[in-house]
Amino acid sequence: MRQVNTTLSIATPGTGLLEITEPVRRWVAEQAMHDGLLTLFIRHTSASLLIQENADPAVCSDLDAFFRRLVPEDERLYRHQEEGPDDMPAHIRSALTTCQLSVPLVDGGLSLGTWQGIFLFEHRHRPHRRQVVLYLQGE
Amino acid sequence: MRQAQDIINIRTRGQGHHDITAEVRAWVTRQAVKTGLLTVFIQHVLASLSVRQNSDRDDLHTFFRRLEGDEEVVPRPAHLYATQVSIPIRDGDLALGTRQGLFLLEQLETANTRQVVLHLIGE
Repeated sequence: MRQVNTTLSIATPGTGLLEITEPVRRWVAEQAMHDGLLTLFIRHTSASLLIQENADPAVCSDLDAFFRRLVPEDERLYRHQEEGPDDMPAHIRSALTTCQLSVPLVDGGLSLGTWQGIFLFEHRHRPHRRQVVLYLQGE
Repeated sequence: MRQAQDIINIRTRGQGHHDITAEVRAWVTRQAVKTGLLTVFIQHVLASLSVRQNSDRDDLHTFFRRLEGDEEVVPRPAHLYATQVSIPIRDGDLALGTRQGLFLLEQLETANTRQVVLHLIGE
C-alpha cells in the first residue's frame, strides 16, 4: 500500500459550479494505482465540493439558483459581513454542502457513475483561486 | 504505513458550535505521522461535525434556527451536518486552510460529553 498527495490550484470565475473532474482524473491516472481511495479536501470556507450531474449545464445553474433562494443576500439577516453581502451567505452555502469527498478507485479509474462529475462550488461573487488537496491511498 | 486510533471526549456547553481543532491537532501531532489521512467520526445523532470559519458560527446558528421555522420545535441543524469528515495530513499537520477549523455542533441545550473517534493512517 502506498500514498500520494498533491494540491490542485483552481481558478474560479465567480459564483457557481465549476467541474474539476478532468484535472482530478488526470492526476489520479498519473499515479498508476489500480485500487484505492481518493480523498478530496478543499481548504476554504466559502467554496465547497460536490458530486453532481455533468451532462446538462442547467442542473448547475438551477442548483445555484436554489441556493440563492435558500440563503438570501440580505444584510439584515447576518452579523458577519466584513467582506460584503455575499460573505455570510457563502459560509452558509459551504456549511450546507461539504469540504471533503471520498471517491473509490476501481480498475485504475475513479468509480464515478456515467453522469457524475466532481464540482467545485464557488460561493463568492468574485473570481478566486481555490486549493483542493488530493490524497490517494492504494496499490 | 501504520494506523492509530483513539476516542476523545468533548465536553459541550449547550447548543452551538464548539471548536475542537486544537484537541484534534494535538492528538495528530502526537502520532508523528508525516503524510496520511485523518478520519473524524462522531458517535451521536444530536451532535455533528463541520469544518468552518471560526467567525461565522453565530450567523450559522441563526440561519439554521430560521430554516427550522417554528421555535417550539427543537431545532435540528445537526441533521444537516456530517457525522464524518476526512482531512489529509501533510507535513505532520492537518491540511486545513488558514481560516478553517473543525467544529462539533451540539444540538441539545444541555451540556453533554460527546465521543469523537479519530482514525489516522499514514507514515
